[in-house]
Amino acid sequence: MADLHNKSVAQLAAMLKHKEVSAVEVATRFLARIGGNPHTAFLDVNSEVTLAQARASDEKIAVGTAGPLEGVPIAHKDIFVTKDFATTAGSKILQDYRSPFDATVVMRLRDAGMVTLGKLNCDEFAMGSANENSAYGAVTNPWDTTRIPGGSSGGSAAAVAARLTPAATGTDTGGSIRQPAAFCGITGIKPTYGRASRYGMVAFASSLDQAGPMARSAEDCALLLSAMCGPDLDRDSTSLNVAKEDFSRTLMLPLQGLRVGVANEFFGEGLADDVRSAIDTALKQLQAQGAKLVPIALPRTELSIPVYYIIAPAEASSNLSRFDGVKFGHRAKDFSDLASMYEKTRSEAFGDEVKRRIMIGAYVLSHGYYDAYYLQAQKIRRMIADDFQQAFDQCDMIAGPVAPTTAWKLGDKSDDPLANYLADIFTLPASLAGLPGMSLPVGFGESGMPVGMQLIGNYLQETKLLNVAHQYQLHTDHHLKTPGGVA
Amino acid sequence: MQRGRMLHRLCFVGNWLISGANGRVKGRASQRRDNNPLPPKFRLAHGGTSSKPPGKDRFFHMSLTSHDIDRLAQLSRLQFEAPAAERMLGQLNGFFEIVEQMRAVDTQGVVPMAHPVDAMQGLSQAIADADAHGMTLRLREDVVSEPNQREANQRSAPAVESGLFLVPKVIE
Amino acid sequence: MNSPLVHGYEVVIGFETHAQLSTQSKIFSRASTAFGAEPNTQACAVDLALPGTLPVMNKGAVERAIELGLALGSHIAERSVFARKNYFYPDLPKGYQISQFEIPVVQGGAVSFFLGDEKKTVRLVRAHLEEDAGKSLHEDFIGQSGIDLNRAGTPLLEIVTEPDMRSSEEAVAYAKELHKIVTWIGICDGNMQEGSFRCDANVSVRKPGAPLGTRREIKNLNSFKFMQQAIDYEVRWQIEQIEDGRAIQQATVLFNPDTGETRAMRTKEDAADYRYFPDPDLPPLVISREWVERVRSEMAELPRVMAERFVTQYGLPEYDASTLTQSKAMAAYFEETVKACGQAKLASNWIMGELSRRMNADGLGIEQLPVKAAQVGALIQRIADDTISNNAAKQVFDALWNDNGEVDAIIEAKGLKQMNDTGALEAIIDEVLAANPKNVEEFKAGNAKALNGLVGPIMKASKGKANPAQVNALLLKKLG
Repeated sequence: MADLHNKSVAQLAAMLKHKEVSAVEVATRFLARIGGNPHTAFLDVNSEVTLAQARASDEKIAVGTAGPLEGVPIAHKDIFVTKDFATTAGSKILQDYRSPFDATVVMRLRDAGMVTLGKLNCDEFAMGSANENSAYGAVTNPWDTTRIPGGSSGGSAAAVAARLTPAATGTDTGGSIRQPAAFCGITGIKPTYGRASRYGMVAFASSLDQAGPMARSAEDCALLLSAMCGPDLDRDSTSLNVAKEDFSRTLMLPLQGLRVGVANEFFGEGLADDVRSAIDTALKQLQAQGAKLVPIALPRTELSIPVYYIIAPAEASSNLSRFDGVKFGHRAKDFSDLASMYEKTRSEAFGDEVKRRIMIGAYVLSHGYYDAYYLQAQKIRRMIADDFQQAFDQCDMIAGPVAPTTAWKLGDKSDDPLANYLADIFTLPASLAGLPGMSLPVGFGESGMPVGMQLIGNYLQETKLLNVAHQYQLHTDHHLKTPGGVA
Repeated sequence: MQRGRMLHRLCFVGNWLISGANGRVKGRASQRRDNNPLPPKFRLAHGGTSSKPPGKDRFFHMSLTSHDIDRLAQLSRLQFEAPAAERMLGQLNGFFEIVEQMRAVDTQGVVPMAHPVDAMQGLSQAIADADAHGMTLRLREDVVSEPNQREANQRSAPAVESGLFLVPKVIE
Repeated sequence: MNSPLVHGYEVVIGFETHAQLSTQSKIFSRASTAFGAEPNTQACAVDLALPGTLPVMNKGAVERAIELGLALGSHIAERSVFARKNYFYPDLPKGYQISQFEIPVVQGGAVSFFLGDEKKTVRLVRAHLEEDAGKSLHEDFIGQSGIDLNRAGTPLLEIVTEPDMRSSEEAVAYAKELHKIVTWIGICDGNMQEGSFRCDANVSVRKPGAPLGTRREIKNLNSFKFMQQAIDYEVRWQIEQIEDGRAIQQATVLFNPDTGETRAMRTKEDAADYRYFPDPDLPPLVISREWVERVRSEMAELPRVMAERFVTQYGLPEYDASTLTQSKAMAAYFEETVKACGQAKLASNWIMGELSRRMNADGLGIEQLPVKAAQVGALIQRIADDTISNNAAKQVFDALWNDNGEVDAIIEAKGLKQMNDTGALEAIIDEVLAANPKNVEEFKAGNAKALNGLVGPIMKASKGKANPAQVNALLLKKLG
């Protein structure tokens, strides 16, 4: 059992089911690795709670009522509220907050038998692309601790890459699963909007937020996604009323005849050479496995940046109004009256990026500006979605880079919010359209940093994405590599 | 330094404008869309870096002023010390320069997309609670099923007395 | 249409009424809406806006909106949108209220009622669904307020009129009619003291023919008495301001029942910019025509329709029909009475007259009357068939009211039967005529009034039991 931490979710599930190892053993092993909180990946850990869950899992395995993922550990991005662990959303304004209920996604994974290792660091309110916006410290990239892991699910990506957990949940609003997965050399998928319940996800941008799994293989992601997804009709009015699916069911389909769309807009001059090279190689690999590359156009790709950064802050500015120091969370100590209580509370407990986006949001929703900004953005959003539909007339899925570069150094862009926004260019379009998108490792760039390839599918086509990724991973080993510093 | 950065950033954006509009991959001419959403004046005339400083002659937009910052802060219940306010002003103005290209797009007749399901054409069969226009609101039966959980709900409350949330006096 | 002027000014009033809907659970959560619970015991996670919570729409609230729309002759939108109204207030947990902005569920419609004898119609702009806020309590705390979020999330219909009203009387009459309608159709319990029905009055004044003046909004009027007082005070105050050369500033004002004055609330500088946008957590509300028709078919007869039916079916004047349909219970009482006696106008007179007088005097609702409709009907029947006179009927009614009992039994016991036996009556008349030759002569000479002097003695001689109509008829016959 020496390399328990290197086992995949699928492997651990099988070992647990066959009683080759107990859930308590597995949990104990991972808790030990988490110990000093390497990479500042975790925000809350509680071994008592974890081991109690593990013991309950062992019980179920003993009596034969085990779920499909019984006893397999998982850690949750701190955007998901949990009863048994604190939830901060990476913010001071929720310091010590205890939710009286669990997020639906957390409940579903617990129902499948998973054991919670703790809560993972993230950019504050999921706003960021480098996990440098957390109020509780930046997360470091296990491949190079002088570099960022990506964001906003940086803690999730780092924890999986560093083998602190076999799997993690993340959330993706503009790329926050895909980009950190790419930067940390792991696999992650953002499903079609509405697949996973948003109930219990601290809201950032309601029409964009989606939960998704992050693990070290497409096979693992498929298992997790199947457990996470499903209609939540009673609690989430935006949850899609589509039948629950087994996303693993066609992992083994060959790629013969697959049409992979390649958009020139994803391969412009801003794309770093090392990323371009790795993607090109990966595309060739797909071709070798039977896929056909088809040129497509996504002409409004660059427009996705202003469109996203209008819509998301607008929704966020409203979603974050509930943080007022009245009912829960941080409240300032000294204030003279109600007005100053509000202002002090919010100003001292929100970080700069959050404040920036609240201000942008307030502006674009303001009387007199709404039509020119918010409404206009929603219209272009539809045009972007239509562009994708046109593209899908000619291909089965779209492949391209996740980000223009590999992970940059800590501090490089922390003073330049705009630079962070611009780096989201490849992930934003699928977010705006609500399409499923995944990231899988396809090689390494300069400085030995991982490169991720993005696959974008049409609505409800997660199975196909996972199939292609899985087939690719059967023929390559990038996803099996371990960061140098990780034992 | 600030200006240099802005220059670099706009060039970065400019590069994307080129590649999006004209592209580099061969055989893509047939794919080029006639209805390029960016009017000619917003595209750089040549590739690579621009020697012109980011100018108001290329991007017409209304800059925010410190009065706007005050107003927005007030609306958002945020307060900024003077240096932070100024920084915010600069950052927002930089951001809105990028946004200007979006404002120029002709969206005549386009229905705003409020929800991704609105775009899931042809899937209304697969997705219940959706019609030809998109997602529709689900309705639940009028039944009470939330019990009193005051204690659990107030566990993280900053100030509570006799079951009430305390705040500084509300004057009407 | 004439508007009563106040010191030469025309008064212009529009109303916004918030009616709490009579659902069991809240509009977006499953907590109870029951009044009077301990603070925050009916505020669940969704109501408290805890992180991660989301709204789910209550079908009962939508159905009540449809019912209101049908009752007011409005258009019910096939597709309507929920929007967020963003502002900060301690009783607003999310920092925004979920309401409807550009596309409300109910559009147009009207409310008609009588103001004295005049029929008035106030047009509605719209009615939309939204959630109520919580409550701030100030009394027990020094320098602080206590927030109770039990009320947060209670479904409301906000009903907005055009500025069609021209006097405080008209405004109150409108409010009473709307109150009647919402309670009649059962969508609101109408309990104004508990805050189920709250009116905001937008009041402005102008010289006749001038453009609309700047309005001020009197908020949270929850009694009809205060409504009239507040509007009257506000009108006088505005006129005084204008006469003194001061312009009216748009403001929200509160009415103080103790002082009888309206006072502007603290101005909120950003009150105007609510940054409305469609709520991304709620897809559009779709109401099929089938649903509307189903609701229509299941709705009890609407007061307006019933009033029209009373006019055509019973031949009642509009005024009577309107008054009798002031509540379902009163209308039912009326119809039951008519069933018992077949005399619609008489029944109407009795209910609007004697019964209403006693109801008001004793502070009773029509369900609490000691006299049942069937009994009134029986009484009217005895008047109609000449068994008793109107005067005698009043005595019978008294007996019914105080001691209950049965109409015929009471008539018998009190010996109130009208004398209908013409033979006996003629005998009495002959006696009286013989005893009063002077009146007979005067009458025959052309003085019709001389008859009166004969009627009295006849009634007395008959111990009041003579049927006055018969007396007159017989006298005329005998005197030629």
